[in-house]
Amino acid sequence: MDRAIAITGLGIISNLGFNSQDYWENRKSKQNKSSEITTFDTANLKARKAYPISNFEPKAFIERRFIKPLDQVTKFCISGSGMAIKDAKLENTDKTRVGLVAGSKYHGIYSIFNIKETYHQGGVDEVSPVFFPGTVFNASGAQAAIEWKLTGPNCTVNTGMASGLTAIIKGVEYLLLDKATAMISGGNEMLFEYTMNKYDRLDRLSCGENDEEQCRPFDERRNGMMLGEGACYFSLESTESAQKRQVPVYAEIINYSYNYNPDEDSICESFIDCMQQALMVNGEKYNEKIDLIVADGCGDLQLDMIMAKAIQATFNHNPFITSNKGCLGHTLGASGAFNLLDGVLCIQNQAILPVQNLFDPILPINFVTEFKETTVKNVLITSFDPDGNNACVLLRKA
Amino acid sequence: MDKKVVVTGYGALACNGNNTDTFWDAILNGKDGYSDSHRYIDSEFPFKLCGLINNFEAEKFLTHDEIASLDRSAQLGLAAATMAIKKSELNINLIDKRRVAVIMGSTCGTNLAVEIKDFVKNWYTDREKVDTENYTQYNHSSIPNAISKKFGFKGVSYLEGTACASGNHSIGEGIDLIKLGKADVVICGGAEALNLLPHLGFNSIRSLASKKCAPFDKNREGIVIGEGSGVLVLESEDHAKARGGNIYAFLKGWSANCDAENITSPITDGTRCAQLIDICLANAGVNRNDIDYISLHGTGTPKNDETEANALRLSFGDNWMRPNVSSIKSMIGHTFGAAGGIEAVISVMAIQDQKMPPQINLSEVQKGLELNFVTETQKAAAINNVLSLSFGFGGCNIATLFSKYN
Amino acid sequence: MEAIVEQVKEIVANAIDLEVGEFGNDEHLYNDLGADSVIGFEIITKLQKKFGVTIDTKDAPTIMTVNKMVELVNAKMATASN
Repeated sequence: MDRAIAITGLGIISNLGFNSQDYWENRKSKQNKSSEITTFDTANLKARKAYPISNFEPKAFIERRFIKPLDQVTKFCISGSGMAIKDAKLENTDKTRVGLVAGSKYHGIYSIFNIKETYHQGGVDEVSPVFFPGTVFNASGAQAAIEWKLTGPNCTVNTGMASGLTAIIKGVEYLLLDKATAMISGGNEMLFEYTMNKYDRLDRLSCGENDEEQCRPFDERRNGMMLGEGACYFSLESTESAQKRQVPVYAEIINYSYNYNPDEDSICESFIDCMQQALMVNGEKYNEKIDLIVADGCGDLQLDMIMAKAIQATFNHNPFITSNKGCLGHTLGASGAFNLLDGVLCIQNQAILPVQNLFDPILPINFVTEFKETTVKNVLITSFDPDGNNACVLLRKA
Repeated sequence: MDKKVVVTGYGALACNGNNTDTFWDAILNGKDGYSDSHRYIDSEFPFKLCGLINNFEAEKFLTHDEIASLDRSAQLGLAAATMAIKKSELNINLIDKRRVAVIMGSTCGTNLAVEIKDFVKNWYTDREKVDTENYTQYNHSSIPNAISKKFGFKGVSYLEGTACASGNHSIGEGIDLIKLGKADVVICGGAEALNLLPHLGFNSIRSLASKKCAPFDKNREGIVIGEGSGVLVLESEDHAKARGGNIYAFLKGWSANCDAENITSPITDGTRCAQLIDICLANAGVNRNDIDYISLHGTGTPKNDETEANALRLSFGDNWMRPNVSSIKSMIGHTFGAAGGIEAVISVMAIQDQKMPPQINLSEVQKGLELNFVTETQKAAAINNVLSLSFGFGGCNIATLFSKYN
Repeated sequence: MEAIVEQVKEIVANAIDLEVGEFGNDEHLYNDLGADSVIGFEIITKLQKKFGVTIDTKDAPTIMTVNKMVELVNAKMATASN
């Protein structure tokens, strides 16, 4: 990158709260707000729990009156992006130069199934058009643009579970090419019956009696992931723009990388390659300068070990490592954005957030299990999809 | 940032041609590929017309494993990409695979995966009967990833999902990746398989045509839904020349903006789309009077066609009748996320062959929407600059500009 | 039995997420009540089902208020019974 990109606004719709203070306090104190699912039937599943958001009031964040045709993932997106815009004080900026990039793995899956359900119940004539617009991938991002009048470039990207961080990378790229003054980028995902059934059927979810159903990132007792939901958005702009507008900068993005791994036997090597690319900043290796890595551990038996080995192979100086999925669950397409949030808040507060539910680490690397105040200058954010998509962002204290 | 981007390969298939050459031949000759959708869609469905690729020869492009494991959208994308990469004569073994990017657009993605094998019936009556494929194939990022995987590419790989503009959007972002130095080669375009959901959706808002897709016609009713894929291979000019690749066109520039107004309806006065065209021309450094052919978005809905005609009048001023225009959706239907990719391929081929695709089903142009429509088949012309327009749901608008390479 | 106007108004109220007392019978669906063509088609589908009439697409722009919808429904039902 030929210049740094500033993060000037945060938008958080999460199981841990709807602002950075609540998120920080809950992450710091290792809150685990997973619960039994009540919004759909889990009788046919092995897993019973997830990390749903139970107290979301869309009218607190969305200005239009008529929100009935918006599905939950779209409400999350509009809310998160709006919060980021306000936090960055971008309301009065020329909106032809403000764009948005949304990342999600399953997008408007509620809308898709709503059409299926009405068709199944009554045939063609019973199909309600209300949720039809929500079935296209870019519905959430487009509705956010409509709400906040963003007439700059509008994109929706999908790299599976790496979508959230990929969306932020695309936002950075649009700014590097001067196609916008600000880009609102992030990820959103909703908890849904189909997704839960899918991962349960494929034996990816933690399950079991007597507290066995837990998300234990990087722990020897891990037995699968748990699903979460939410939205996390950032206002991005050049450092010059932030200075000119005299708005505070949370942190700066100084490099990024994203790639694909075509070979199932090379997941670790490919992820190392992605990290190394992000750590090479204009010819200078940043490996030894990294204070913290936000890792994508989710409790999966194989993937957590691969991530841990990749980190071990990439860093010799034992940097701190954190993961948020013990507190949030795996928010799939939003997870990469939440990983960036952890990095931003650690820099802002000069402290490291702990990993929830980690008692017996699978490798002797520097996982933080208790909140720790310390110097945090350079943070590597990682995000990973098991089908082969990797993404990394290098963050620096402004 | 000042790298010039060129097109070194292309591939497409749609209902009127199951490979690039037969597709282009059908397009130039004004042949549509519509069929009765009975065999695909519920026989009780009121609208029987669609653009199904009846003769998709998957085994010509895909391995047995790929056919067994990939959703149809991913298969169509892989077929077009395979043709495009073959056309480019890229030596896969010599290039740095970490610097080959794949960006594919789609609107419905792998939605067919939650229709096949009686999914809906099983989902609502007996979950145990839901086939594992209804889960494993429902994976939208498999559309670009299938291409990266087949050829061993290890660079950037993602799905761009801006509805009906996604194919064109992927191509624009391909230019950007090369200019940023993030890739030497970009495989980009769009893919879409026919699936029931948009039929149900568009039917519920009465936007399906019952007899034909007739963009800009006085009696146009709406869209015919089609499937297909169109893919380009992009490189920097230096990279293409260094390896001795054939250069089929310059991709001079692109633009993106958003109506930010309504999720399904465009801003019909054309102002936002006119701005889009103006920015694209400026980005490409091409004067509007030098545009020879415009590949219209031309879906055949009352609102789109009105918007597009108004946008061209605003942007081109007194010269709005100068550029030749046509909508190939009149022949292959609206292929949603694939459309921008397929239209990019015809833009390049128009420059290659110096011939323009016609628009069919135009009996009487709607008053007020007159443009310089190409209606003759095999129409030759001096084609130096082609503008390709795409307008997606949510008001996401994309324009790309191709030029003859000298 | 509910008058037709009340049944129509209930359908519209449900579609636009307002109580029947919160809007007038002459307020425009798009301009005054914040709906769009998608909601317009939702209302048409429900009116067809409720009253057993067919409403053509070309009639849609003429029935943008509760009163206009009632007029059309009455006219269609009268034609059907003749």
